[in-house]
Amino acid sequence: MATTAPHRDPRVTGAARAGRWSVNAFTLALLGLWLFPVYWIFLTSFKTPREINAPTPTFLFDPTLENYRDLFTRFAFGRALTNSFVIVGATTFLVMVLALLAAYALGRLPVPGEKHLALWILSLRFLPPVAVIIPFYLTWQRLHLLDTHAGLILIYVAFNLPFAIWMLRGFLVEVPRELDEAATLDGLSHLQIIRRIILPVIAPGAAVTAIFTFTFAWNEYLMALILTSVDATTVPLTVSKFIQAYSILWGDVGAAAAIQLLPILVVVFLLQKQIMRGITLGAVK
Amino acid sequence: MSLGASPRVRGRPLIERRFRFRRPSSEASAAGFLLLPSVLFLVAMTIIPMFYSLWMSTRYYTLTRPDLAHFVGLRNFADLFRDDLFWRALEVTLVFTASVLVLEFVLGFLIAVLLDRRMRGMGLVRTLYIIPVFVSPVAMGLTWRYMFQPGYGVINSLLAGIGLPRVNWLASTDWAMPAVVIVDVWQWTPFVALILLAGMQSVSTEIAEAADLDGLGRWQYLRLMVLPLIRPVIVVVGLIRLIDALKSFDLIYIITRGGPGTATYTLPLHSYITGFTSGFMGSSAAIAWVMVIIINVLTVLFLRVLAREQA
Repeated sequence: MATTAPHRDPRVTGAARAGRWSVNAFTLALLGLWLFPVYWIFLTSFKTPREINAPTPTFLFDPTLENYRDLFTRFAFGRALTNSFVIVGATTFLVMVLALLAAYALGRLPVPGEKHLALWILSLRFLPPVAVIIPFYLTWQRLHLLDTHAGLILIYVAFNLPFAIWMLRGFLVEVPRELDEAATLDGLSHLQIIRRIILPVIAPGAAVTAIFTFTFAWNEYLMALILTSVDATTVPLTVSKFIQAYSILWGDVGAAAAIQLLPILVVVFLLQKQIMRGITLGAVK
Repeated sequence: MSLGASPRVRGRPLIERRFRFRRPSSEASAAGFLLLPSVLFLVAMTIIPMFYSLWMSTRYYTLTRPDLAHFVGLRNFADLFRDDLFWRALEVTLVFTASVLVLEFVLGFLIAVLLDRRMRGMGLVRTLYIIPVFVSPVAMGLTWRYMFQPGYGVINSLLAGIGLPRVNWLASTDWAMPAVVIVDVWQWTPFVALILLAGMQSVSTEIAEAADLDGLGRWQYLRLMVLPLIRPVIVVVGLIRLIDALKSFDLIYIITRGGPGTATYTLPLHSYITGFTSGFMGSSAAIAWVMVIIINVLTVLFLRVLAREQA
């Protein structure tokens, strides 16, 4: 990635070099401070209750897997994980299919009032979830969708679709038109163009869109809190149950947080460049 | 626009020719076919619930006795505006939003400046800064709650280590708000920073070099040249954070449940608790609608103020 730092002079003096080193050190120190909570919860997940509640924080200790064992035996964390994967996986798949079709139409085909439609779709991303929890609760109650996978999937698709369409459209308009115009001349249908021409070209952008959708659904709490109770509880809801009447099970919190963070950390590292573009795309364009 | 007014070539309107060439009927219907699933689904899942919620706000409706539900007109709204708790929640929401907005912008700008430099491993440093944006508010809210514990929390140990007094963060009406602000700032400053960074990197190197030749210092360069140039980016990221802070629920609910007392009791919490803990669905819907209106008004104000400054 290019930098625009102006002061890069070959005649750097000793003082300037020292200054740059101290700014570098400050950058790293700030980063360390910022990542400390993540490090701390990983550490906590391997501690015994005595170490967790010690008056002075311990950094060196005998790691134990007791918290992880407790998580799966006492809180049926395995089921929550399965539920989350099913719900979030289905959500991501449906969002990507719908968004790809819509983004292609908005970016490539003549749509009357295209700008207004695109802005309307984006504006839905800013809808406060609290404003629709009552309608969903009462309707889902009537339709017997409370505490079901489908009930949450429908809502997560609706919440993530606007931003996904917006992002994919941003990636799509950068693809040269000659590519799909040639394909049209070859007699390919729109669906074939999307699958064979567009999708391979915007694959990195589509991957980021899918990751964003996956992450937001994976972390969602309010809807799961209201609409699920036993059968369809997700990971965040299970984690919030570690807050008990008189204490919080910090060890279990740590283990659950670690498990929940791990897939996201892996993905962030694998796709760092694309994620950086994805985050900035919505705002800078 | 009427077709008759368009320039004619050999008696045929130009516009018609152009459209004919692009085969309007098949392309337009294809667009409709591809867009329809998303648009219909979004209307069904957002617009209709919004109207349902508006209708619900005009009704007396309790969770326990739905059979007693009846129309009350604007009574829910009138009751709301007479309720001190509502005004308190509004105040808390605005204080929270203003605090995180200012802090996230200032710190985000600082971090963006730090990241907009050459350093070995800068790519990795930028990636690591993204992590908070992606972590679960529930898991990290609880993590912070652990770190804020008065007796064994790591934050108080740190404060004591540098000779500052220990604070009972989440049980004190003075410190609970700063605590939730800190957590929100922790989670969202990197987002602001990375977007500002992208804006800075779109400022061309010629401008940077010109500033260098004119002998501007680093801060003068940032203030006089970069800040005005990335103003559109600042507006967008400010708007995103403004709206998301106004509607934020998870972090505060997990960390303090709005307490102690009403110290961190925001409007989204007020709406949720009124509806699902106290069971007054009608009032809850009214609060939610007031929130939607407040978000819209503040968005317009925000854009107008920044647009005027720009002119």
